[in-house]
Amino acid sequence: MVLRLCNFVKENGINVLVNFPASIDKMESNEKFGYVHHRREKKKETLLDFLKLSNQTEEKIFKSLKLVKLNNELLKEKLDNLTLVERQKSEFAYALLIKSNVIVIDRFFENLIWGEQQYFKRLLRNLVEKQKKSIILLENDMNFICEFVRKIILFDNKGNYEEISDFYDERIYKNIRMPKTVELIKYFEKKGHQVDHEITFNETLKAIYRGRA
Amino acid sequence: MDKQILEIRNLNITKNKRIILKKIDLDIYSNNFYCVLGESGTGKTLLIKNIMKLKNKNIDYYIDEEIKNKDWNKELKIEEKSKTVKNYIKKIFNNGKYESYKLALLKKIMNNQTLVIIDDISKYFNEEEKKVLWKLCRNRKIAVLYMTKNIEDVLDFDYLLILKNNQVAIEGKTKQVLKEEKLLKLLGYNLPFYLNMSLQLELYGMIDKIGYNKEELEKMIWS
Repeated sequence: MVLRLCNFVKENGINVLVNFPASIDKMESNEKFGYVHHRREKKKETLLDFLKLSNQTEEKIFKSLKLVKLNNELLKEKLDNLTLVERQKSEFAYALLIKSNVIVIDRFFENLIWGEQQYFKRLLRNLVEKQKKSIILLENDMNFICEFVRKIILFDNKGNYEEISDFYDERIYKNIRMPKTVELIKYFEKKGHQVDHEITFNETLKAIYRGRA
Repeated sequence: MDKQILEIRNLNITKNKRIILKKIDLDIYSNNFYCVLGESGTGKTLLIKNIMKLKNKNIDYYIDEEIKNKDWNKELKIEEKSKTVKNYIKKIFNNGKYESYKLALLKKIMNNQTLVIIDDISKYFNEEEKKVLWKLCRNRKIAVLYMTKNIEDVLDFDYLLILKNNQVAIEGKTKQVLKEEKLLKLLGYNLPFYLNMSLQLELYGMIDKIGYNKEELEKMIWS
């Protein structure tokens, strides 16, 4: 699996995997790949013990916690006692500490509310633009991420994949939720109205305005 | 006249010495739909578990753990004989995924309870399926208390209660709460997509009232 990931992470950017093989969950963070798991076996160690495995100073640990919006007070908590989102953020902080070039983030955005989603989108963009990292997202709902993803990696049943950049390609949405903007424009088309294909909210609004005119 | 089914006053919930929820008041009346919106970890499932402790026989519950821990193949054999639930499955749930979860929830709805409390089902039910489910509950006059972290779900409910920082941040009739756009943003929520799009289209002068789904928007824009 790691080799397959290496194959398509040739350029920096934010990509999303669709129909990804279940075995991807077996990956562990290392210098090349940081992995933010969806669900992990609960662990007895404290958050501080876990982050210290990165061999970084406490100062850097505090900094990474701040970046992923985790409170320092949680450092003494056992990972067991953290919520799902807090555990995911801990793994994100760890991935930043070990300075992985590629960060795989497994169903993270679906657990965040809109305000936090906006923050983490900005953080990911910064990681890509300033630190030249590659981000691979695994999600079940394209609504959370379609506005900032560069390309979609679509897997078939045999584990083969292809790159798709057209968000209106129906093949994408067998196992992932369609963005509301795409759903709306496809519905208008079905009703016989011509509207430009857009992804973002504001561009969709303008496209409807043009289509109506 | 709607009857009161559940009354909770000043409920505090802690887990591993951490305060999860404090001073929660909750009044549930028959025939009404209630939605609790809160981000992951705000205590929605714990709230259900605390209500379960009341052992109210008029209430049934749907939480992931309970579904996972039961042998639904065994449980569902009785239902298969009557075929009622199975017919619903065939009629309304057509994507063939998570059948045992769907069957389990339908079984609870068909149990003639006054109130069903349901933890987030977005993983198992798509939006169309959820709408059919709520319609079924309305037809059977079952009150629903639904927990979700997704604001897109709330428009199907009469009342909305938002959890933030261990307590209720805002509550009221759903459409009234959604008018508090600035407060919602402060709490970290955007408006549901179709409501938001509607408001913007209204600003552009393309529609003159609010639409809550794609069908309503299409009719208003191109009428």
